[in-house]
Amino acid sequence: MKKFFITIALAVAVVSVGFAADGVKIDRKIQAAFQKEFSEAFNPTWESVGSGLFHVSFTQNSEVMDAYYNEEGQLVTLSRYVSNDQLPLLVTKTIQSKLGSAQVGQIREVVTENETSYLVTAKKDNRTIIAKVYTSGGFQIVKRIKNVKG
Amino acid sequence: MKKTIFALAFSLILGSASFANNDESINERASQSFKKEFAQAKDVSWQKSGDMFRATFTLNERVLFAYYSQSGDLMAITRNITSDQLPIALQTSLRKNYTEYWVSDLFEMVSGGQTSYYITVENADHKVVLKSEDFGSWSTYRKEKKNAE
Repeated sequence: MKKFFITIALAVAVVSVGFAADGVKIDRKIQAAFQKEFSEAFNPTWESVGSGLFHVSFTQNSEVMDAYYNEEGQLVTLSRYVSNDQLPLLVTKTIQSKLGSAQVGQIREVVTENETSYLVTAKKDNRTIIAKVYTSGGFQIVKRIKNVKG
Repeated sequence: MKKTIFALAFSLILGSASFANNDESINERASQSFKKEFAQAKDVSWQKSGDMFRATFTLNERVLFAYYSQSGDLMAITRNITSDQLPIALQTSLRKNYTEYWVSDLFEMVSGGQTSYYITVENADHKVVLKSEDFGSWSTYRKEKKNAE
């Protein structure tokens, strides 16, 4: 079940393009957990994303972050977009060696179950690749999408 | 190897490693090893401290330091970073637990395929060095009380 929640949160993080607030009521337990973890969070916007998961988008230290909580108030996934200079050295090295000839786009740092990884979107030929790079330098293709010419 | 890395990290934290430019600063084995590992490196300069050789260079617009043994083995790579370059979980942990402290030093170290972060935080009374090897939590590496003037 826990794995299911993580998979849902990760999938939402991959396709995350912003959500409209739907005015959903958030349980106090979840709000309290959020406030404890992110006491300096600014402008939090909540929504329910289904499967018992709640998404909050907020700003902290001038960075927009996304956190996903389950109904028990546990932080399931935390993510943010990162620039190249925010990447660990081993991650940069892996991106260059595995995606060197591709055009690297957005990179999202994702923390799930105390494990940090980086979701990299890159374009090569007529395909978009979403790859997961681990802090150890490990590499895994998550998705390949054939681009449709407009 | 691990003992050497430990000693290197310790000397970097304390600032006690004095790397100097002189005629002995370039070791041929280290230089060859460096060229192989960092073919795209720019602005390379060498310094020596004890039996350790340090290359300072720029790669992908980042200033990096590579440490080599006399036999030309790459011991570690480091770079100085700011706190917003820390992984998000480490940043969050720092904000939660060290709100009353300021950051006086922070660097990323890669050695033996493993990344670690060392941060020095201070308040009026204490100077604390924290270390992380798991991208998620800090452990106290060293803590000292500041002397009253």
